[in-house]
Amino acid sequence: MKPRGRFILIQAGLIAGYGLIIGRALFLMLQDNQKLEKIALQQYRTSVQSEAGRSRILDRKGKELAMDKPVWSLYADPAEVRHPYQTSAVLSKKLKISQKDLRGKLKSNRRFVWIQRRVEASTIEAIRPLQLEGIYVIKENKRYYPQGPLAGHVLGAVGLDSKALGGIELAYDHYLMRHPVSGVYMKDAKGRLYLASTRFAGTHPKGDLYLTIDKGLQFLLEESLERTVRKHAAKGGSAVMLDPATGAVLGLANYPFFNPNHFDEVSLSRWRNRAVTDLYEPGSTFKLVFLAAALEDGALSLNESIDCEGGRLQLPTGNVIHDSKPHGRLTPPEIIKVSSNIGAYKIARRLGPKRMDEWIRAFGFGQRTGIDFPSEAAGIVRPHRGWSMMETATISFGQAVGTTPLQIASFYAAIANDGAQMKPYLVEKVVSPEGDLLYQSRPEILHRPITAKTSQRLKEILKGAVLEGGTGQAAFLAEYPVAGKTGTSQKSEPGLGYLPGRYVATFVGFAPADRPRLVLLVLIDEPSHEQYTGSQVAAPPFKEMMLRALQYVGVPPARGGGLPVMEAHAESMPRFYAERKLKTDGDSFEVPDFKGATLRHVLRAVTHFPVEVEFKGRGVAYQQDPEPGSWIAKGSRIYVAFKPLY
Amino acid sequence: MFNKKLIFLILVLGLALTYAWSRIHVIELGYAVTQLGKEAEQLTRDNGLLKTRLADALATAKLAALAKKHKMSPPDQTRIFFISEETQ
Repeated sequence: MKPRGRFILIQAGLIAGYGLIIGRALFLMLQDNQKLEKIALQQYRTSVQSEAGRSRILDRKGKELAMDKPVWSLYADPAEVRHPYQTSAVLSKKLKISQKDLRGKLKSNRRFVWIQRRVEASTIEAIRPLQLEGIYVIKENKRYYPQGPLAGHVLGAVGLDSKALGGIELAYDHYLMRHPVSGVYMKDAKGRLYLASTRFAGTHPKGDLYLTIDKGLQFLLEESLERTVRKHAAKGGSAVMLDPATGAVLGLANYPFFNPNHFDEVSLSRWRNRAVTDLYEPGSTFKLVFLAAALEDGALSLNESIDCEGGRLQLPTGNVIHDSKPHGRLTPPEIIKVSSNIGAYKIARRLGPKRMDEWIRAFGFGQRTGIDFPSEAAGIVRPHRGWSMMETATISFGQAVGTTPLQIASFYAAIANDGAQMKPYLVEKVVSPEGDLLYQSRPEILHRPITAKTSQRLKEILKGAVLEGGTGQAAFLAEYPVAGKTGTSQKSEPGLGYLPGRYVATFVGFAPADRPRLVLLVLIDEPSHEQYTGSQVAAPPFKEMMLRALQYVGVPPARGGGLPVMEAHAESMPRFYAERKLKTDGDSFEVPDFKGATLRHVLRAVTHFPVEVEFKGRGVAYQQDPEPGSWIAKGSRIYVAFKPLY
Repeated sequence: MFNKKLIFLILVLGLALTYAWSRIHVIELGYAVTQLGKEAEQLTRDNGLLKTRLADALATAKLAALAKKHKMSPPDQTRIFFISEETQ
């Protein structure tokens, strides 16, 4: 064949070959072949899932109460484990788990078995260098509570895969939980990822949760509560501290404590936030309900005297009610001061069962306060139509009704707050990682059952109860006027009635009584020594907690005690503090002279202007960039260096 | 005529090479981004671990125990001074 003929033949062959390939490619492309498409996608695309996680829970000042801790989980592909005996021997030592169990897992026919979940970094560091065949790790997050049991009952717990199991963790799960997010990556022939993915964001914004709880207040409540329970060999105890003006829960403690880091090592009963979920008979702390009601209804005068029958009153039904001590004629404030059951009954009797029932419910008893915490108990208040005469009498001094400690604290907070009962709440705000406010709580008035005038009269009566001769004398503070009431109630069980020797001792009150800042309830469950009354057992820790708390929040002493209150004048403060007004012009502003200012003053100055401020050191500012008097634009950065004052 | 064809061919070849180079560069950058992403993730985890250690060290109960060990106690009431700030 001639060269030209050979060339044409080769050319034709090549064209035919390419034509076939192109034709086949077109055929495959045009055909609706999902199976082939799937195979192709599997070859160069892969889906990678991020680990689940949760946002932080902080106290009202931003201190961490709950956070995620990076951990690793070990799994095995038994098909790849060639020496199960040796591998299990090594792992059992490092992980401190049974070698036999491990060997069983490594000989399994499955392609995936968990070896151990949530392994700490130090253990993984010890295992990694061993390069064990068929053993792999997955990155995970474990919920960690750096404060241990502090506020454990409030926080709740989190299980495997960041799943909320109780408490605030569960109530605000939609803000806290970051579900695993999938991202699609491109991969090469060796399986290496080479293109970053676009991740699919979750549907609900996530953010750090700021509680109303103050870590410092919570600590002092818990410390004092534990000491009191131990001292009286009691079964347990609770303490609730509220801000009466807003309803914010500043501290909420229960003893025995619950450490959410080890939630799986204790029984479920230890998880309960008993101040919110458990009921008790409030005893004499309930007497204020009917005193408030009688004053509000105009059925009682504070000057009149009521015969307390020498401490023994027989009802027409034959039942007898007693006082702990015999009393003659007493005025209503004296009835509260000495906590006379007979006097309290005679006040409540003026209202009658129907009105008593209405007033109980007007103060929110028998219904949930609506606190943002799961499983709140509503309490037990039977309808008045079923009340016997004896039941009417016992209800007047706080028996035959069931309330939570929180309800009682909330009731006294209403007295402290000029009659406005605020809804208790535990979460102040939720802030996204970018600083956006996702949720902000708003104080909400639940009821306004009494007027400010009645509230004022009740405050005066409660102040009397902690003075000499009052049952709450042990709660008296020399530095601050205190208003409060003791309560002692006998515990009962269905079918057994009241149980001898088993009491609940309570003290609830507020301070400073004239301008209340804090409301506190202390409850001690079953003090087992000879002392069991509210005045003996609950009033002393109330006094200690309240004094330390008022000092902690910076309430100056209202009287006596010799505590000095110093006045700070503008001329004695750094110069900047006295002239903190900024000069602005559109989007620009003049950099002030920060020299001599504290960090707080600098922050306060720039708080309404979108600039970044970088700080170094502590104490007072001594250097800054830009210089004072320079004009800078929105988004600029200011550098301020501080040096210690002394 | 020959020059025009040659220029056209060089142009096509140049474009093809530029396209190939850009694709290779994109893939290289993809590897780099993925690697940096992994490093960032690791650093974030390390940072998270350090934050838990810091929070752990600053736990109130631990600080209180340390204070007690060093014979520190809450201040006596007479040693607390309240300073009321003048607002204007």
